[in-house]
Amino acid sequence: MDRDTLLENMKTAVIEGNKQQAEELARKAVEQKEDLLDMIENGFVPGIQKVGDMWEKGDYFLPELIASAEAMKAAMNILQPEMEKIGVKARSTGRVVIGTVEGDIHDIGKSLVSSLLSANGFDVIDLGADVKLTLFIEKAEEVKADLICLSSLLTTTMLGQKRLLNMLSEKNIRDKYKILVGGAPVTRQWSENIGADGYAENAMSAVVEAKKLVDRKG
Amino acid sequence: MGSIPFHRRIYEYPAGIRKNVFRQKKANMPRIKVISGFDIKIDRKKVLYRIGYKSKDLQKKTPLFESFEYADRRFPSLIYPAAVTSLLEAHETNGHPIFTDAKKVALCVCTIGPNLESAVETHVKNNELLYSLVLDGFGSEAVETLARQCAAKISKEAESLGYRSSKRFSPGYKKWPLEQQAFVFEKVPANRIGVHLTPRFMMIPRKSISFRINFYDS
Ligand code: B12
Repeated sequence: MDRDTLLENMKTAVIEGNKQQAEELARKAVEQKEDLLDMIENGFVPGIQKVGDMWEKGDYFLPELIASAEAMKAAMNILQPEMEKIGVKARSTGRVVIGTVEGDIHDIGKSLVSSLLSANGFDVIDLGADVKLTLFIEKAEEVKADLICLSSLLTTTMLGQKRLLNMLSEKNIRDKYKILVGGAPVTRQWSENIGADGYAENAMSAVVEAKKLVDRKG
Repeated sequence: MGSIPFHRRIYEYPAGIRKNVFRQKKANMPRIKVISGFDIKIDRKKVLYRIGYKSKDLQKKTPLFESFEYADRRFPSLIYPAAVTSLLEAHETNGHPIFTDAKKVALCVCTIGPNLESAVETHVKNNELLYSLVLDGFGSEAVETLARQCAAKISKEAESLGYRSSKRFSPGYKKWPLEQQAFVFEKVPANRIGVHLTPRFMMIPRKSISFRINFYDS
């Protein structure tokens, strides 16, 4: 298969959420000794970008987004180890530490955000649910994160988001990270009140918002 | 069975086999019941609704449809529905306004056990996101259905005792703060069905619900 057909098919596989196809194409690219970074950036990534556009236009809903994210991840799982072998690293959109704030076990929403971020090229460290505030900070420091994403489904744990921001300020490291907050009871107003950097209502807008924040961080 | 803790024993039986009702009657003690053997049927429409869809959207041969088929097949073997109820006299409550005018109060903790959420986690790890989303939705719907069935049993009991029953109401909903879980767990021996409370009042397994129903004079 020539390069252009390969790239076109990769894009289509991600748009259609066809995991097997995405995996096969990734394997083919490896077999053909293609430039794998080229394959990612000009094949799979335009696919996931198109999916984002279709979602914004209202043509795609959550399940399609998820199927596409699965296809994207499946391809990356094949390409990444091959690239590591030759010392090439896929360009990361940004490094994210994400979790559901302590005292809260609602986490399927957070997992969706985390999956879509990673499908869109972010390096994601997902700490799970009921995560201690100090752990968010320790992890972010350890991996030199760009972004900390906090999910709260309970009004009680929304206060944890505020406390985390205070803790960062007390440690004089508030400026090192962009803070993105979300979860059903969280609103833009709340995020502004507590001095977070961004808020998103759902998983795909979380990706859009996260990209903006990382760009702004520079 | 000797040393196996009680809650483990319940989990070792497939749902539906143990239809036993355990009763404990002691003077001046709340009446406690452990109930298992529920028959949980999932309404696909409700699961669809949870992820932002309507039933007409569930077209055959789509990944979403396939995920529903999968979850339908899988969930019965992953859930072990069980409940504990505790019937309090008015003077045994903690005087919170949520109990005002009640002659008796039934407290209930119910769960579908830990297995479904482990399966969901495995899917997330294996990059099977749509499966994880839909199976999680089935789990949430299953425990909601379970809570509804428990509430119906309790209301029937209220009626048989000559009382009128209130709707079910859970700690964490507006007028009854989450901290009140401490009171519920003080009165309901939820460890009998393997449910524990974290120091920040979340229940483990996650797919658990707690609530109260007031009994009023009819
Ligand atoms: C499903 C559900 C459950 C399930 C499943 C929980 C689980 N972990 O598996 C069950 C039935 C078990 C449950 C139980 C309880 N629940 Co509940 N639950 C919900 C419900 C209905 C939906 C949550 C959900 O899964 N949504 C679907 C996902 C996909 O959406 P999402 O989480 O909102 O995430 C999206 C966005 O918010 C956003 N997002 C999420 N995180 C982040 C993070 C960032 C950084 C960004 C940018 C965006 C973002 O993107 C996501 C994807 O699009 C909500 C109501 C609601 N409207 O949210 C109540 C709700 C959260 N529960 C509530 C309560 C009180 C409880 C209980 C304490 C009740 C009780 N006493 O039994 C228990 C606690 C359980 C426990 N183990 O202790 C309350 C919380 C009240 C409050 N404001 O404090 C709510 C709001 C219900 C209500 N009407 O009051 N719950």
